[in-house]
Amino acid sequence: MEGLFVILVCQLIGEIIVRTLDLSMPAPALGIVLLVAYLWFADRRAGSEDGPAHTRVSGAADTLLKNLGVLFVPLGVGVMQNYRLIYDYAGTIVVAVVVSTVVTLMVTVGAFLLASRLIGAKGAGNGH
Amino acid sequence: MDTSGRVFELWVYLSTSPLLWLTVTIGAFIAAQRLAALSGFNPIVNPVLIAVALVVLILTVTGTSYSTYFDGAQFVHFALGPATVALAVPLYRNRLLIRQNFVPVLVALFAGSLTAIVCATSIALLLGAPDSVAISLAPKSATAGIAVGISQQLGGDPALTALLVIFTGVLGAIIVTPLMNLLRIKNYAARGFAAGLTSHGIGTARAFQVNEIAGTFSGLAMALNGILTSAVAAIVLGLLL
Repeated sequence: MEGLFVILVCQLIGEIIVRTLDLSMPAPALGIVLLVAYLWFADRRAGSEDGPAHTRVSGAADTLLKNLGVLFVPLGVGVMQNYRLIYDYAGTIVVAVVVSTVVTLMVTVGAFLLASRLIGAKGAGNGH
Repeated sequence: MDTSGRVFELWVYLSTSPLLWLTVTIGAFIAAQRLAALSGFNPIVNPVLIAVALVVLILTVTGTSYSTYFDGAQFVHFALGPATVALAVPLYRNRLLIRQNFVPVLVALFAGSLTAIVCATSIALLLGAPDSVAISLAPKSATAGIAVGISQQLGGDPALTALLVIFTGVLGAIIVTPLMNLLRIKNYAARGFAAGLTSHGIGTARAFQVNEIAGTFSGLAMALNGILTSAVAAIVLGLLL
């Protein structure tokens, strides 16, 4: 219960900041940053890595993340309201998604490898 | 009153109650998960997509409106916010990995995130799609809880974005392994990072099936790209539109 409370408080503070400063950013994204900051400072104060704050939050967080899939369903069903938009632009949407997915995969993996090579780092995945 | 009259009366009551539609949402997802398991977790058999199709079918057959459905489904929908915030926990847990791979992670994050937004949006605009469709496409590589929020704030169609997020996730999960093998890339940190950045949670689930390191890096990329996309989407769209 305490873990869920901490998560909700982070989202709530995120919501307050977004509304007050009129940011064009979803509150949960800010909530991630706030929760990382909380875990960092709380465990640092307690003097142990993966300390009490992490233990407190991880149970609730893991449960939520394990069931992430079902949480998308109500949103996805919403498409029945405006299926015309998909119907009218189906070709464009398919081309845009397919091309950008392939290009994004290639650019990301390329940038990662290039940067590793340039700094000569031994990344955790090398040698597999 | 005869039996059919009673059944009808019960249906009239239940069909507008949140309880029924909450139950249907969870039931459809469990059924979809069973199907996915039967297929040996083939990425094409995506439980979210199947559950959405099942619910749409049930609502259409029973003539139920989306707003009636959402009265019940909102209880599931609400948890999406906290579940997105919860991404902080795996991010924090793997902070050492980020520190060890700081430069590649940062470079790949910025390159990939900007590519995802610019590429999808400009293709849609070039092919003559209206702004609302282009905006709905922009955040599609971010995790759903964030992508839908961005779409809503910038004038896109949140429901369309939700489907595009799932579509991108499923597509990326299907092509990542053959594509990386074709490119002869053996660095599983890089492969996983690309999977999670492009295809968020669905790509991450796939990455964990292939390799533990790939899965961990995929999860990192998903959380980081969610944050970055929400920070830059408005700026990039401002330049493109």
